[in-house]
Amino acid sequence: MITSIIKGDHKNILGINRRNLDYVYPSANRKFFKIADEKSLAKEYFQKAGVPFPETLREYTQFTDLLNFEESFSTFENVVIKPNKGRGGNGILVLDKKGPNGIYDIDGNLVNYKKIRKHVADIIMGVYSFGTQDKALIERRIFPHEFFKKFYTRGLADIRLLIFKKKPVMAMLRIPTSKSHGKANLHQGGIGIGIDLIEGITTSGILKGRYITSHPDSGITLKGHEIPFLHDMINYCKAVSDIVSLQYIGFDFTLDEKNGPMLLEINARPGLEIQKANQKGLLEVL
Amino acid sequence: MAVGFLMIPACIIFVKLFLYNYSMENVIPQKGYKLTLSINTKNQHPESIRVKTFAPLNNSKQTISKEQGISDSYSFSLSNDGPNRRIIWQSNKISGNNRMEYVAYINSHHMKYVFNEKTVLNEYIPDNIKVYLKDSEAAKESKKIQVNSQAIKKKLDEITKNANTLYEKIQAIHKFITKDIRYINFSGELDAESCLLLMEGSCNGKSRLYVAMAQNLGLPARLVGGIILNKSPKKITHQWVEIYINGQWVPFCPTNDYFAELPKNYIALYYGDQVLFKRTSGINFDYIYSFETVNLPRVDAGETFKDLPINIYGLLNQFEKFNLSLDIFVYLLMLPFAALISVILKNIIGLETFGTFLPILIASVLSNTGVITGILVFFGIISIVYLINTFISRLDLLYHPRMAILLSFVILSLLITFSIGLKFNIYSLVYVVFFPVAIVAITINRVTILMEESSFKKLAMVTLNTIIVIIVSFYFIHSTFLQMIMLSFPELILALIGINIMVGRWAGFRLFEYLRFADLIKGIPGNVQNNY
Repeated sequence: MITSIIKGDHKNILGINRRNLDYVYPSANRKFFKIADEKSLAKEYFQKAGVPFPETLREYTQFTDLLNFEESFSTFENVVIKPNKGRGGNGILVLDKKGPNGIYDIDGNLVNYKKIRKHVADIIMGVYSFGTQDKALIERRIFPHEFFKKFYTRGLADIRLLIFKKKPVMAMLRIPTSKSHGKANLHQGGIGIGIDLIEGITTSGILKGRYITSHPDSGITLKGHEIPFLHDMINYCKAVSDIVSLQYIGFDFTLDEKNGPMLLEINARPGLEIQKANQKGLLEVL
Repeated sequence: MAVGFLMIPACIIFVKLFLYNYSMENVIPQKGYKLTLSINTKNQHPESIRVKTFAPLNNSKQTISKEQGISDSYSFSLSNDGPNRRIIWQSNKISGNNRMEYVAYINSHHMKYVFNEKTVLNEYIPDNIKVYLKDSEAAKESKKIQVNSQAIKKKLDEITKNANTLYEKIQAIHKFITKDIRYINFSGELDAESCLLLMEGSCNGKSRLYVAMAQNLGLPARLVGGIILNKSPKKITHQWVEIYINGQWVPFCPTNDYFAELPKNYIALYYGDQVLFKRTSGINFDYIYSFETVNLPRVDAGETFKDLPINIYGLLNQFEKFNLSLDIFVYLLMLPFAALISVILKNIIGLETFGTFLPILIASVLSNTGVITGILVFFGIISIVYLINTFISRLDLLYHPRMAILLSFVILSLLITFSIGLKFNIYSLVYVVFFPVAIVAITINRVTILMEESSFKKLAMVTLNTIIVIIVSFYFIHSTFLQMIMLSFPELILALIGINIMVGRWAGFRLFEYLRFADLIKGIPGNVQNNY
C-alpha cells in the first residue's frame, strides 16, 4: 500500500476527489441533480425519453386527498407506497393482495386501511423527508423477473449501469440477502456482482467489501450468468442521457416478471464500490 | 490563482520582516511557567480562617498574567503591600478539609547585569529605596539581619581589605559567603550573625549575612524570597539577595553562586525579610507548589507592533475597550486555520465527519471543559440522541417535534451532569452548561440524518472520525505558537484560502481509499470466501 502511495499507482481506480472534480461537477447543470432526489420529477424525464418505469397509479399530495381514503384506495392491490423524496429506501410499503378491510403486506400480515392512511399521511407530512412536505406515490408493484429469482427469491434486485458521455462504462447486478431485509443496497448488506459489458455476463461478487463466489443464502455461483435485456437497458440510458444534461450518471434498473426492464431512478453521484465488484478501475474505461 | 493568494501574504510578511520591526524573536511565543499553589486546611470545630501569602512579583525579570484564585470555601483577594503583592484567603465559619488554589502564568527570562571593575557608583538613591539602607529604621529594627554587629563589621573589613573598587568589594563578600561559609541543608531560620559565627548556613542565613555586609558598604540591599522551578511539586522556597547599584536592583545568590545574574527559573515572591505564610493558628495547614512549562505569548509583542502598518494589535486594544475577551478574537482568527485542517483530514486523509464545521466549532469551545471532558460530553450527546431516537422513531413522529424532543432530552442530561458536577465539586462537569446550544442542535440534526441514511457501523465510524478531527483541530486552535503567528501576520488568512484552492483542485486518492481499494490495487482479489 505504501509503495503504491509513493508511486502514485492506483491501478486506474477512481477516487471520490477525482469523481467529483472531473466527472460530477463538469456537468455544471445542477438543476438536474434534483432529478436524482425526486421520484416524480425523474419520471417526467423518463416519460419524455420513452423509457419504461414503474407506473404511478396515484399521487397523494395534500391532506384533502385523504378524504374518503378507503374508497379511493379500495381499487388498489399489489402496489407500493413510496415517499417522493425518500432516501435510503425509508418509508416504502409493499402491499400484496386485498383482504377483509385492508391489504396484506408481503409477510402476509393484514394492514387495515386506517393504517395505510396513516402511512400516506406521514409521508405527506414529511416523516421520511426530513421535515419538508412531500407526496406519497402509489406505484404498481414490480414482481422480480425469473433471472433475479435464480439468485435469491426475496426482495427486489436491481442493475446499476454507469454512463459516461452517453456510453456505458461499467455495470453491476445487486442482489438482496437475508441480512439486507430485501434491499439491494450494498451498504445494507446486498451483494454486488460485476458485469462484463461486452459479453453481457456476470463476473465476480462482493459482500460488505469482501470478494465472494456464491450467494450466502441460496448458494448459487455468482459468475457466468447472462444479463437479459442488457442491450435494451443501454439504449434506455442513452435516451435519458439525451435530455438530462449530466455527463456522468448511475442508472438503476430492475427487471419486471412480465414487462422486463424498468428504470427506478438515476443517481448524479454514483458510488465507487462498482469498481470492486468488477475488479477494475473506472479510469481504465472512462 | 492559488499562487496569487499565497504570494500576497508572502510579500506582506517579507515587508514586515525586512522593512518594519517585525522580528520572529518578538513573534514566536516563549516558554513560560504555569505555577500552581495548592493549600489545604483542616479543622474540627467551625471557625473562620484567614491565610495570607505572596503572589509572584511583577518586575523586569518576570511578568505575571491570567492569575486566579479558586476555592469553594475561601474568598480570594489580591492587593499591593509595599513592593509586594499580598494574597488573602478568608473563609466564613468552616470545618473539615478545605482547599484553595492560586494559578498564575509567568513569563520569565534569564537576567544578567552589567557589573564589573569599570562600574563607578552613582551616589544618588531615591527616597523609596532609602528604607533598604543601613541607617533606616527598618534595618535597625531587624533582628535577623544584625547590620550593626561588630563581628560582621570586623569580618567585612578583613575580607575587603585588599579590595579597591565596588566590584572587588562585592566579589570578596560573594566569594566569602559562597565558598568559605559551608552550605548546610537546614530547613530552619538562621540570622546573619549566627551564620557568620557558625561559618555555615542555608540559603536564608547566607543571604541575611550578605545583606548585612552589603548594607555596611553603604549600599541599599534586601532579601528576596522566591521559588526555584526545578522540580514539581515542591515545598522548599528559596532566598537570595538584591543590591541597589546605579539605579537598579542587581541580584546575587550565594547559595547557587549567581553573581549579578539570575537564571530563568528563579521566581521572586516577595522583597524583604518576610514570612511566606501567615494563618489562623490551631488548624492543620499544608501547601505545595507545582508548575508546568507552557507556551506563553510575548507580553511586549502588542506594544512593539501596534503602531506599525497592517497589524491588528491596535485593534486588540479597541477590543479591550468594549470589555470583550481577547480569546474570542484569537479564536476567530484561528477558525480559518482549523477549517483548513479539517478540510485536509477530510479530502486528503478521507475522514468523513458530521459536517465541515461542526468538529472545529466544538474544538474551539473546549477550552472551558478541557479536551477529554469535552469529547466525553460530545460522545454522551451522540449516545443519548442515538438511544432516544431509536426509541421515538417507533412512534412515527414528525421530523420537527422529534428534533425538539431530542433537544429536550439532551438538555435534561446536560443539566443532570451539571448538578452532579456541582454536588461533587467536579469543575469540568459544571462547565458542560457552557457547551453551546447551537452546537448541540447541529449535532442532533446530523446524527439523526445519518441514522436514517446509513448503518450503525457508519455512524460509529463518522463519530470516531469527528472526535479525531476535534482533537487535532483543538491542538491547532489552542497552539500559542500559531496564535501568535496569526496575530502578527493576519494576512496569512489569504494563504489559507490559497491552500484551500489547491486542495479543492486536488483529484488524488484519499489516504483511506488506498485501504478501501487495497485488494484492487494489489491486483488480486483477496479474502475470497467460498465457505457458504
